[in-house]
Amino acid sequence: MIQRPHHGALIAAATLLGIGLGGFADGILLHQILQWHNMLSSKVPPADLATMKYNMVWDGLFHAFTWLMTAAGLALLWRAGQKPNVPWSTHIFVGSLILGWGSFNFVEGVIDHHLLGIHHVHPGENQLAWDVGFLLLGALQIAGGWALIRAGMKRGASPRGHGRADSAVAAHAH
Amino acid sequence: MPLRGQMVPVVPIPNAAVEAATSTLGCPSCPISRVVRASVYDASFWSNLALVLLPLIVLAALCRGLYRIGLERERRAANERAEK
Repeated sequence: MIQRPHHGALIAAATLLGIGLGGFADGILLHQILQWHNMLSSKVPPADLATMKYNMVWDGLFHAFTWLMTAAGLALLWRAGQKPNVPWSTHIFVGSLILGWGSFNFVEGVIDHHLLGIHHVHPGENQLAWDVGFLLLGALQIAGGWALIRAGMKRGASPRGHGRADSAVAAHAH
Repeated sequence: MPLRGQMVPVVPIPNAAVEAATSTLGCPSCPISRVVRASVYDASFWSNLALVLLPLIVLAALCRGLYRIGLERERRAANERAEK
């Protein structure tokens, strides 16, 4: 019996990886290189060494959990790779990575910047514009990622293993 | 250790930074680091951790939902086959 393709296994794994990689991109570019977007900077503004170190610890804790998301994504990807009914589609994989990154930006933006207000992308003048821009970037990534996933699902990649098994049988026959 | 006669690159450091560095040391066991650790791991630690982790919890739930793509369709098809 041919099993129906389980796209969700690859989508969930790559989305988790995208969330993790998006979190690292955020941490490396915005927190460390540009020194913006520190985790609790609205509660404890980083105005001197002590308050910068305080925010640095919270940035580190957030990124420790982001690392766990990445590791979980890798574990799910490994497991998906072992299932013959999971289509191994590049479109779905890349689309899900982008979806994950966009989801990270969007969800983190809505919750931390707008609902909880614990920090902003670029605190100070025009912080709302920066926050809204961050949300728009996330929304664009989500739309682009989802479009790629849909394209990958429409292409109808056959469940992995079937093609390979057939070609192996054909190679034996010759 | 530079060899004799070798040019040593000089990195200009602003005076204000030098003055700040002499008055506020950031080494792991300096008083300022102990103060920071005490203020991070105080009574507000768990509530702050909950705030920080909330987006990741929502994102994990989203991934759980995405994992079901394909499974629901399979379950529905199996139910339809059983009904027939």
